[in-house]
Amino acid sequence: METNRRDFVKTFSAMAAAGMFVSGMPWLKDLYAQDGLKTVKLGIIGPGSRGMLLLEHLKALPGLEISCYCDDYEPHFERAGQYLGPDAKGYRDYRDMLEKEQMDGVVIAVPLHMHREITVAALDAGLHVFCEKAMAQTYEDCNEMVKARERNNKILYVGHQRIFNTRILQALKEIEDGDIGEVTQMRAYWHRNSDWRRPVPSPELERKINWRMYHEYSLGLMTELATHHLQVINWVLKDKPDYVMGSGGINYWKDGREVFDNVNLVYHYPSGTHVIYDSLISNKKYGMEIQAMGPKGTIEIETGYRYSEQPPPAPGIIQLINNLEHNIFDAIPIGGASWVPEDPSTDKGTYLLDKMLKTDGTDVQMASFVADVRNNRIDPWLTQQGFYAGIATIMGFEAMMNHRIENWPEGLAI
Amino acid sequence: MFRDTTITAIVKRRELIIFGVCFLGAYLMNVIGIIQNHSPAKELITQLHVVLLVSGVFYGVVILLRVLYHLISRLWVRK
Repeated sequence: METNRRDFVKTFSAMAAAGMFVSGMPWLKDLYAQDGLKTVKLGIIGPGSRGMLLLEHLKALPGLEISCYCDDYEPHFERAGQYLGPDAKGYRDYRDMLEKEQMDGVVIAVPLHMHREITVAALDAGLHVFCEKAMAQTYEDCNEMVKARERNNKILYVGHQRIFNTRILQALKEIEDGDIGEVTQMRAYWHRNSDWRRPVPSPELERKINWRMYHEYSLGLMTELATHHLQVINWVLKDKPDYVMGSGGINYWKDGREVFDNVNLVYHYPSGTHVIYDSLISNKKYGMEIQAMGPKGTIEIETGYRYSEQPPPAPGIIQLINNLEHNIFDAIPIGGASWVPEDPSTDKGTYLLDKMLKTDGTDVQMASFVADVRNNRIDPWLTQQGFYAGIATIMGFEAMMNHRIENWPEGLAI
Repeated sequence: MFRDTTITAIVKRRELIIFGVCFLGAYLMNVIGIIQNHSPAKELITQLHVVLLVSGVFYGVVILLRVLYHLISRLWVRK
């Protein structure tokens, strides 16, 4: 992890030296100097699978103490206790923890339906907060979280780690520089081939462990996957969608779940750009991608490739040979003089970054959160990214559930 | 079955001249290609590997034609 952070800083330094982005990202600077500074004390609420991953990244950071943890599920409680050691105090109720512990901030990695309640309580207790994505389950919950942050003037991170991924930063830089021209369409998809279930030790724990399957706790593929892509898309387009239409359903995993196993949406942005998004969990041939398309090229943000619409021409002699070959061997076109085959662009693409870092940004994000807590530096832009992604996520869900065009809720803005 | 053979200086010279002509033809193609397609002049040098390849193809075609000519001539003489 430390190596990744150093790699990140090195890569970022090279980018900064090359005149690339971005004055608006102060969180990057502090990643240089964390040693020898005052110790930050954090607690964690919800050390489940994601929570443990966050803990691993946090434990690798210098100048940080995880002083307490909280979980009401016994196996997770015990595991966190073993991992953190006897110095960390365990709680089964987050309210006890917030009341009794003296700390600087809290990391929240609980199921979605509890984000609002715990985040607001933590902010009102005077703590800085890192809350996993998606922001919350309803528009009102998202808004309450933002208001609580503003009321208490504290840090609120939402766990969109792509903000801290150098490959994505580079993609944004190239898009901002106009390398692909104006972005006229974006496409994103996230495909898996699995039932998305976790093993349940006894039937009464089904809803507690597989909470992602039920509307009471989750909006399914939208809040678990799509929200990441919607954050990047909002970031690329520097805006939020004004409306969305879509359709979803359960067409394969008919196993009692309530959330859709496939979602299909079209978002409209004020610039006129459309975003076509789909996600499913019954086929993974195409994996996941975010494509930004313009008249001059395409950037595939997740895999880190750029493609030109006008790749450099072949050498003259090769073109001459190709022309001779076409003149001799090509069939006579039968579709009329105006017909041309709809062949895709032939550019094989080039990497956005020569060196592909292994990190997805989560480790850097945690380092950034700790640095911000240490320096009491509040960046509303980061909260805004989580907020707008959260609202766009819920809009997509509402559009599919209610079979209607869902508009951006009036008055929701930072 | 395997006899020692000798390639005479005349044959070597002739083959070199034929290959030279093929190379010139290929190089001329490079020049035409550059002019027709408005390619950069540096391709006069940077595409020499392609020119050599095309020269080889031309030379192969010439060999094929010569073998055919030789075979047809022999048939003609027999008749």
